[in-house]
Amino acid sequence: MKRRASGGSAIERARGVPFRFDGREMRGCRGDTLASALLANGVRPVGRSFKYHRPRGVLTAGSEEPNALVELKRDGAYQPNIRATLQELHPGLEARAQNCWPSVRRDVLAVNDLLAPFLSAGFYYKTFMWPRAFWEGLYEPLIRRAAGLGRLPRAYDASLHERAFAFCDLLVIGSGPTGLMAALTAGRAGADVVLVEEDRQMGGLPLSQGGQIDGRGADGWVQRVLRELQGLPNVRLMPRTSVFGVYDGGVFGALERVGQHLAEPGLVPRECYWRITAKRAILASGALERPIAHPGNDRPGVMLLSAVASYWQRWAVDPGRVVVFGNNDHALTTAQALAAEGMQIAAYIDSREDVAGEAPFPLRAGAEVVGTRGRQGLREVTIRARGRESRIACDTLGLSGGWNPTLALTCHQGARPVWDEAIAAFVPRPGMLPGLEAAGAARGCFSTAACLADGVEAARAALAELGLTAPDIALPEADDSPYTLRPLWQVKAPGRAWLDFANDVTTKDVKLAAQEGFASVEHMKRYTTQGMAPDQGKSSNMGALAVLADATGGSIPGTGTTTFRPPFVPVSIGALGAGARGKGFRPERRTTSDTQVRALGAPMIEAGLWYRPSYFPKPGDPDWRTACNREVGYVRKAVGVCDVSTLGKIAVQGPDAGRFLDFVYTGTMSRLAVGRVRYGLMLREDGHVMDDGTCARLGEQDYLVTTTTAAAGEVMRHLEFVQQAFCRGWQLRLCSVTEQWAQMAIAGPLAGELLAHVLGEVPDLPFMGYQPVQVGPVAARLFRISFSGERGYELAVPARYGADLFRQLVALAEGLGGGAYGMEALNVLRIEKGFLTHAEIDGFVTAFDLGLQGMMSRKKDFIGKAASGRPGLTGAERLQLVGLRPQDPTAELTAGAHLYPREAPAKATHGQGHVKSVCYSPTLGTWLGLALVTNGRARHGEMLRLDDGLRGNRCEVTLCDPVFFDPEGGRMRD
Amino acid sequence: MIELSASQPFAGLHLPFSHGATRLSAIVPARMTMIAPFPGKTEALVKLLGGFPAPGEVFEPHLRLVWAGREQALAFGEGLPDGLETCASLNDQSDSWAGAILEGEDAKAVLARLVAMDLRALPAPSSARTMLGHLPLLLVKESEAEFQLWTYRSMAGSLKNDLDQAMRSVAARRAVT
Amino acid sequence: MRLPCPCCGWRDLREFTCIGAADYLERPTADAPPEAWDAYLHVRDNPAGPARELWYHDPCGTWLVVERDTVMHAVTGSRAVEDAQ
Repeated sequence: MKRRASGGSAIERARGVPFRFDGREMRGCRGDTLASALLANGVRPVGRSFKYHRPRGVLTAGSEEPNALVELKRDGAYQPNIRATLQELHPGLEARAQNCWPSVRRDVLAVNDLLAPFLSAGFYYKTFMWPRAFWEGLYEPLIRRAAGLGRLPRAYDASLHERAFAFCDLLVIGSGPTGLMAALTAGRAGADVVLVEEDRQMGGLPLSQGGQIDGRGADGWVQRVLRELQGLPNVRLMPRTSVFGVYDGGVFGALERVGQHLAEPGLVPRECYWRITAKRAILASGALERPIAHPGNDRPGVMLLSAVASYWQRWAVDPGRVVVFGNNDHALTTAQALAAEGMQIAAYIDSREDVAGEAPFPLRAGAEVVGTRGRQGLREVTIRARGRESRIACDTLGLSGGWNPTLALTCHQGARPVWDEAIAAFVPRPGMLPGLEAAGAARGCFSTAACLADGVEAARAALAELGLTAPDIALPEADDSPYTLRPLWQVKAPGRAWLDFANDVTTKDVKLAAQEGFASVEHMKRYTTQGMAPDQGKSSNMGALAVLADATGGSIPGTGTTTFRPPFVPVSIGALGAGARGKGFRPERRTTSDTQVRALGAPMIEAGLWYRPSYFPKPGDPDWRTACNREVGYVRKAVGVCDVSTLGKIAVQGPDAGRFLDFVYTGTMSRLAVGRVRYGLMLREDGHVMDDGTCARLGEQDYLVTTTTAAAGEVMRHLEFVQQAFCRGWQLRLCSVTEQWAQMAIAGPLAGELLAHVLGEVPDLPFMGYQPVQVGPVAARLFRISFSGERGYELAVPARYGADLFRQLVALAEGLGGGAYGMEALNVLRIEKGFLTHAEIDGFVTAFDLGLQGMMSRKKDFIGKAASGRPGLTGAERLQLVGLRPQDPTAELTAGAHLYPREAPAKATHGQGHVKSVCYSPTLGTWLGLALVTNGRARHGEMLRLDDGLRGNRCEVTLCDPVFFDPEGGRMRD
Repeated sequence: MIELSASQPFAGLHLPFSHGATRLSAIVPARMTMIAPFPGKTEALVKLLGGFPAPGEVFEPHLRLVWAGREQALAFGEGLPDGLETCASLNDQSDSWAGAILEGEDAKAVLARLVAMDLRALPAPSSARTMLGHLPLLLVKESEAEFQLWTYRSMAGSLKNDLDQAMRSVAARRAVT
Repeated sequence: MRLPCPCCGWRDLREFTCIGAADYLERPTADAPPEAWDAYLHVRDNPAGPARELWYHDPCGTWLVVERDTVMHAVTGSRAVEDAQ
């Protein structure tokens, strides 16, 4: 570690940390960031620039870093675009420079830099225009290969991420003097405070700049305040956390680096995506120093002055001989302070004429840096003063073009900042965003004393709005020297001067954009790509704007800023998707028979969130259809058992229950006798069918409504709406009892016989009847309903008995030559009977389309009645439900296929309708289909061509009645 | 005639278990009845029951009554007074729910990973209807370090899975410096 | 985004479902002319500013009328549909 000075508040020198960069073994200290460790190891280029592949070094010491983006090895893969300035060093860390090959020092694509005259702003819009045909085959693949920052790992991302929610009275963003005083004031007042800091260490600028607060070293003051805050139970400190977005209702998005700094994170998530809801928030995010666009300002070794100070104070990185180039008072005082601490300041260059001061180094007023030299890093700078140029040998150039308040978060809801001439920067407007106020440097108060006072003031205002009393708090003494500057956006001298280091945008590119008509700031940004790199132009937006204003002859406030949008800092997709991976993606609903049907080897299919068995394979089955046919046979010839618990069950109870059901069903349920069940249809208010199911009257004021599995939630929401909106005061309540009952269908000619084993006798229950029964001591419900067309019962028991009931029913059925049947068989059975599911009730069909117009009562109003009668929802032009039979019974029908006249081409204009569901019917020995066909009911007997362009299936089909099997229904009634 | 044996909602899911400072255990289901007073009949119901919980309330005039949604409460235990059916809808829900107890000093930190509501201001005991991840949730706060978490029975596995992951993550974080 | 439920207090957006303008509460009578039904079902303003919307708080089952500014995103009121007039 050749460039380590003494001191360094952030590092523990005794604890060396081995790591690798670009394959080279290096050592840093515990407490280093990757950037500080690289600098301490004398590494200068840490990556190559985006377009010209120029060597680039570390520019900043924070999350705004445009250059030091590296690929970091994590969980076996390299993760791109890791900011070396934020990444903490850990033993065994492996990183490599990105955007260069074969290495950062010798990079093949550096040839781009020689081609720079041809690669100006918008070059690919101009260059790759002709010939047109070359675009897809040649230009695009070429550009794609060269473009992009870093490489995406191809492997599955095995890293863990986490999401979490936090709530507080006051969120303080930033832990510098402003944030600390705000948190302390609010914390002492008893408010719930969350204090968020992006850095590993809280304290902000004083950690980097030293100085005195409250008559002691600033660092000591910070530690004392932190100790008090840690002792307050109502204050939560969140270091390593960046707030990246402000959303409606006081919700803030924040990203915490939880395990990113650990060598072996184990189960510790890499990052946590926090949603912090705060009643009030104080933005104490400070300010970012801005560079100066002078020729050669992108050479490794050129840094922000604040970064030079930060690496020196916190990580004891010795920058060698330093030239400081500034335009403001703060730059000079910083240079003086650093010199006093032993840094070698070779010269202080200030663009202002009227600068003077005591300094142990040459002070050059009215001077500018007009050039730099050094192949892999800075060796000397060229100075111009009063028209004369001279050279100064140095290792580091510290730039300070003034400071920009970090105000992006105040603009996330569309508000615009205002221009403050005194500091030549944009500042937030008070009241820009409800509940969020900027304080301290974030609103342009730059001295430490002003920040301390502003933090207290902001907290007082927030506490008053929260109804809390602010405590009396003594303001610590601190530096209050004024900050003045004369704006210097660019040094006008020959050579390329960089604005956006990450995307390689120079002052010339911005001028060219203006010249070519892209004079609005939003156009300039997109034409040059300035501000569109991962750093989002944090160090370049202001400069580019000023250069654009200069080129167009406008003022800076007149030119305006681009739009600030979340995220303020890069957020990994993994963090955004935290918790939604694998089983977290959506819940699984499992029936009580789930374990048993899986044990029987049934493949499961999803129905909404539920899992249901599709069929029950047996050894030797050549395919799934063999199993399906067997199960259809159980039901048609013996008895089958199927868990139907997933259907929605809603209890509707109360004196007005019948009246309510008359209003939501097309039919009249109030006249249903107790102990009877009726098939019902619910419409949406727009006249289309919402759902179908049965309605049983269990008692005088007690109805049970069933819904389809998929529509259960929607129907409940609909019923709640109708009740709360249109039936105020009616004496009834709704209650979902879906999960209370495990319900098993028992269907087939031997269903009664099976039930006799279960209940001790064959129940004397007519078709569409209900009665309470006992299964031993267990109170159960028996319905005689059928979705298969055979004699059918559904037996419901409290869910705790579901598993055992299913097991015993299947065993009994097997004893009678039957067994369990799955969804495939259920589907065949219902298609054979023309019974409906949501395959047919697809949201576009009316009761008329389904041939169910007879179920719509004329005597009463019901939801959907008025609209269902309007023109266009009934008539010959409607697609109507029909059955389909292929001419050749072995010809496979496919759902989703379209139907055309036999000789007509497969064009939409000839379309007659489409197929909704199909099956092979072992009962009838043919394929069957249900379809919606224009005027279909009047066309039974007609032959059409089925054409499935997607799967290449064609055959001839005949339209028929949708009930294929036992049309009189004798099998289920008798 | 057959005889039926009962099984528990968390059967086969290996409860109870602990990670770090939190423990998850299954609640053995008792009689649970959903009581929903008909519009305008709350007063009559209060006379019979000794009270009816307002939103978020849990109280025990006789049976434990837990607010469980708009105009409805769950009554825990046997022995509902006669005549309730004249003023309220009553539904046995003993088998509808899967309930677990999350306890320990990190219980709140675990819930902060899964529940998007502000738990700070809830008194103990109190109840809330919300979501745990994507799961419907009836949350009953018993103390600062003990929460009952109820979801629908079919989702017991997902409830366990979500909590298991959050508990592991919180426990692992404890070790980070 | 967060919304206030009259039963449950302020809750995260994920707990709610919106079905659009509160005009949907003004259901015409059964014998109203087709124009009235057409307006009720299909014709909606698209205000930039204050709006009244129907939201469902799924966890507790309450339907709400939420008053919200579609420009400023401020929520200014929320009442149960049962109590709203």
